[in-house]
Amino acid sequence: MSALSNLNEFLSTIGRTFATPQLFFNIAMATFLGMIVGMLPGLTATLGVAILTTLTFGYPPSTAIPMLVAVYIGAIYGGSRTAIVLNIPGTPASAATTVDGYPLSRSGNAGIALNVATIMSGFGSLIGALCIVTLAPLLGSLSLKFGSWEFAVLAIFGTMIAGSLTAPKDPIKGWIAGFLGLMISQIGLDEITSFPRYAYGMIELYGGISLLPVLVGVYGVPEILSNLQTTKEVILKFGKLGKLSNFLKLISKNLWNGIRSGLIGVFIGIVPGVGEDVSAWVAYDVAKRTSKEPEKFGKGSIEGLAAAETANNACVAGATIPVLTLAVPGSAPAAVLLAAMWIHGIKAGPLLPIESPEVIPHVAAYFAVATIIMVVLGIFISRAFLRILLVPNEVLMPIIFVLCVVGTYVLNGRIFDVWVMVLFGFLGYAMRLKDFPPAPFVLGFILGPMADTNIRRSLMITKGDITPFFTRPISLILIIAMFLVMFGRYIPRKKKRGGEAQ
Amino acid sequence: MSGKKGDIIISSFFIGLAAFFLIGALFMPIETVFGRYAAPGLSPIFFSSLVIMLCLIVIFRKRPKEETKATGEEQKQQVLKLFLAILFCIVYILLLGKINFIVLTSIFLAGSSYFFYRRKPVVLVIVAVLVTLGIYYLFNKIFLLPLP
Repeated sequence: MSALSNLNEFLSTIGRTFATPQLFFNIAMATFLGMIVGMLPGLTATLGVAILTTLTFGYPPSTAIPMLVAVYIGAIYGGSRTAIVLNIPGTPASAATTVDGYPLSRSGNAGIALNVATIMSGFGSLIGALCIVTLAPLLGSLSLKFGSWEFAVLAIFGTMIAGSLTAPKDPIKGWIAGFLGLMISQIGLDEITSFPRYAYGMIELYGGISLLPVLVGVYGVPEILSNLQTTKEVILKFGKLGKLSNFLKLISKNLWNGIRSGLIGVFIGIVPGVGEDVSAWVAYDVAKRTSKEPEKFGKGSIEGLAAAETANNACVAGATIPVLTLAVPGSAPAAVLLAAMWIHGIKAGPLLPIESPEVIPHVAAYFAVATIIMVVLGIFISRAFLRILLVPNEVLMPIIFVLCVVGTYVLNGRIFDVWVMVLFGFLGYAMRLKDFPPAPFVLGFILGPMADTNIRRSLMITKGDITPFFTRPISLILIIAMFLVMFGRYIPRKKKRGGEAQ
Repeated sequence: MSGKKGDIIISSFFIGLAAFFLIGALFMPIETVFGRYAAPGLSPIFFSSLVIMLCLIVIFRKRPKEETKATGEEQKQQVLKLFLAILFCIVYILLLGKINFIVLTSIFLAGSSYFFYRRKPVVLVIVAVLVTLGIYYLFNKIFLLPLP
């Protein structure tokens, strides 16, 4: 499909979605559910998408996929509500929002901050939707040049990059988490020889460990346990909105900031496993460095708030681009989206633009529709639903646990998956205690089969010769990029004249 | 748990896990119908070796001492709450499928909420029953998904 026909299909799908009441209602409900999930500090977007995947199990793909996209967008946006009002990011993606959102709230400008965050999140998400339509086909045509060597290196590259970027203070822990995920994913029937690895006669392990129990366990259970350990009191204060004209001036002043942050969000989202939190911080940092008033950052800067919120929502679309074209998730919630696509028979990957070219503009259109709904809900009703935060964690967390158990059980109808969730929940909690990040672990788990099959396939083709890994251009670029990100911090930098090293 | 000690404990656990995978991989067939490079143990050996190597670096490297985050009494309370939360969750899962879902889940929700919250028992029981019925109705009747 050409770029123009993609754009045409994108726009006509938006129109069709608005004209189909059932689908529109489902997307609206999913967006709203995502916003609630995002608002609740005990839950993550990953968990929200995972639970909704199990709920929409029996739905056709044309209904399930738009709903999952909507809950993802809603959840990333929803985190900004509590970040601004309570200084508690509802999801990790909103951590950067607290830096300027909360000071604005404390100074009586919570209403303005909430609305700026809403508009800029919508702006970022729309930039992301347009990038899906334009960039995904380009990445798709590049991915056709990928052979077994490139896929093997990409799987390891993605996991290592995620490890380096999600554990910047101690990247070794990120790499350990990544290789652990790659290792554990080897359980089950081997794809090439069908040898039952690490099954030891247990029929449940022949098919490998299911992704959703691992995701729910690693992300959900540690949050539930942590929230039950400590008690937090919540006080809600919003302040006044002020004149509409002043508000519109604020938005127009941040237009360029929004475009730049949106593009940053999209490109960071494309990098496997990195996620929305990193994109928000990077965009925030860039906004601060280029601002005419950098001293305001950290004290209630609208620029800082706008940058963070635009980037984290744009990153949602960015993370979906490699899902569609490479079957490699750009973030943890995107990983669940990928799993959901597989469950619903959509073969995401390099052949998608050839076999089902309409999927890319359709997904972009669902992004756009969910974004519009998100902005409307965010402006008019999100404040009312912040009251859900007044429900004590001690009451909410057991309910969330039951939802996790039920959601995991209904996937395959077996208690075994629930035990897998609990086991990985304990592992996730232990990892969290000692700052081993979960994102590279989950990404390694997802990419493990791809890494394994392609490593062996490439060695089978070359009879054990590993030279093509270093002579094929794309593979070499990925290896160099991986080493630069992993070890770049140890390269000695030039010193400034009379000053410290940069 | 201090920073260094905690790192050693968890890295040792990961080494043990990786050693299990490594030894298991060594017992897998080397020659296959597709040749030795298709050996199923190849990738597990590679990944588990890297885990062991990186964990050994974590154990033996020098790290600055970290401050303890919580006081003694506060930490004890948190640890106790953690163990009780884990116990409740495990008992709930053990009884799933053996006791009626609505009864078990209502008791679990009401019991764990009251145990950690210690206020408004009547409200908690009502909320527990309503939420359980809501979950049952949503999954069983609307989404037609079987519950344990």
